[in-house]
Amino acid sequence: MILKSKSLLPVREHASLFLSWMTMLMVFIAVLSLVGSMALTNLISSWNRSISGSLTIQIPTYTQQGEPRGDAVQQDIQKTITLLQQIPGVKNVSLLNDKQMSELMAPWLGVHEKISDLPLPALLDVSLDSTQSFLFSDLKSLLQEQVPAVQVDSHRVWLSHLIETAKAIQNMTSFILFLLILTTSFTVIYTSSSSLALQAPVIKLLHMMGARDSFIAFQYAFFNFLRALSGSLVGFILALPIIWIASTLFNPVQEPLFATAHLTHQQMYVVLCIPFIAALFAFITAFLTVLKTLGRMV
Amino acid sequence: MRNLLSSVPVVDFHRVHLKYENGPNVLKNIQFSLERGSFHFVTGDSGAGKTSLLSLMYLDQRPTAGRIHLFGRNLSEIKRKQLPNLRRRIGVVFQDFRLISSLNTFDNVALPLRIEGMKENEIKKRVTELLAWVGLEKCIHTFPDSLSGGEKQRIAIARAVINAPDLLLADEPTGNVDDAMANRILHLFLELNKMGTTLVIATHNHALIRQFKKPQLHLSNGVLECLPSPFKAPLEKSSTAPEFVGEYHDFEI
Ligand SMILES: Nc1ncnc2c1ncn2[C@@H]1O[C@H](COP(=O)(O)OP(=O)(O)OP(=O)(O)O)[C@@H](O)[C@H]1O
Ligand SMILES: [Mg+2]
Repeated sequence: MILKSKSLLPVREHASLFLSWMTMLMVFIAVLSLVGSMALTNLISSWNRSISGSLTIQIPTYTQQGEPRGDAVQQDIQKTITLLQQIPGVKNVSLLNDKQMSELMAPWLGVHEKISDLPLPALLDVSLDSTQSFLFSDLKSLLQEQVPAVQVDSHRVWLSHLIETAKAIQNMTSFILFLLILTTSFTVIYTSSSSLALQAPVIKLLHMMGARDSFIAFQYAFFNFLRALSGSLVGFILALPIIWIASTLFNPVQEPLFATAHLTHQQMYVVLCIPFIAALFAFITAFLTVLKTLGRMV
Repeated sequence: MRNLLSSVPVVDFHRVHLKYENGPNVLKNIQFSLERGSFHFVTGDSGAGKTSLLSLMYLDQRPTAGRIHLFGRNLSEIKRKQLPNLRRRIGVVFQDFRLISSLNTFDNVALPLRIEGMKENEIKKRVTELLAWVGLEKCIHTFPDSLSGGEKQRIAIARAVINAPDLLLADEPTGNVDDAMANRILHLFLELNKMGTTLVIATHNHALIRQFKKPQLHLSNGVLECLPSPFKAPLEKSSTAPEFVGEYHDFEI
């Protein structure tokens, strides 16, 4: 039944080329936004994992004017630890040593031999009992009152802002994907129905030979499928180098704070399916549009 | 099934009128019926309504009034879904060929078989055989736009007969070929006719009409007149044509 790649219906070259270009662009954008969105999802969940159950407290080692605070640092550390241990819900408090500090800073500063030479704050890692409710804002005001120099968990606050932003970006990419699907279907519907009008003589002839609507619609949609597939494969291939560049750019900031944004195997399969899904989508939309249009013909 | 219906006329027109949207009546009160296996020429001057008469039979036009039965079925009562099966029993050679320009000779001729869903290897066998018969084996991969009028006509004929239809409607099938080819084509039609195909051929070619001695459906001013096959002189015009109901092949020699 399939006429290989030959088209039964005389094809308007520019209309079908338009479909190819359109799907190329659509798949290109779709792949990029989907990969971006998946990476963000992974990032958000690893951030979430990293901030639940723990928090970090900074004790500055220098004043804001840049002078060493000396013994005041040790006093603040002791006082804070004592305070924290009295708060219900706090499981454990420990001071990060130089090795842990340099690991934490590695993504920004590289591997630094003498981390203690740097004007870095002392960090307290506080693990929380996740079964107990714990009011972060209460803790913050308590510490600010008792040990004013201390800064509570700026990266937690910062991360929660980041997560908000990431979620907003994610919503936006979903919206973009939705728009893409909408635009593509309008394009397919428009190009199919407008070129059908021009192909009325051939359709009439096929009808007179006893062709069913589904036969004609299939021929038409199959041709659309091939056009869309070639376009979307090109779009997919064009998106690959950009993904690669983006992933190498993000790589240095991944460990340990950012955990991982890498796609899982399942996610990669989903991305691989995009060009085929797009082509299939063009096929089904064209098939249904043609079927509906033919149904109105006598 | 066919045996049961063999007494039913293949084509039956009852007081059929046809009028194009804003024109005069092209066909007036047409009434005739064609038995299975009959062979008729449709004659008449240019513009007399030959193509219009055929187009009613291949369901391109609907009558303005009257009723048409094909294979015993009333066309006005038939559902859209049932049309394809009916149409597959009818082969049409259009006066203007109507080949599909994006398909080569092979694919054009194979079209009715593909519409039926026949297997590709069977299609290949049949189409190559028939194309050889009409002398087009060397044009098998050529596209219609680069073929001569006569070659296109033969493709149109091959496409119409490829699935051995029960009813073959040919509109000027020999208008663009030389006499030898015209004869060859008519013999192909005769072969089909012997196998049971009902034939209706619109033509201006008086030599063929004389040679093949078949009855005529003659149109003049949209009115059908029955003419028996030639040499049955004098040709008697049925002046009461509108009322005439007849089995014209009774006039056959
Ligand atoms: N689609 C149409 N719309 C309006 N008028 C038409 C249409 N087709 C044919 N006619 C008119 O109907 C009349 C009969 O046309 P038809 O094509 O049936 O003649 P014909 O006998 O086949 O002529 P020819 O021998 O030249 O092919 C003509 O006057 C023609 O102008
Ligand atoms: Mg004509």
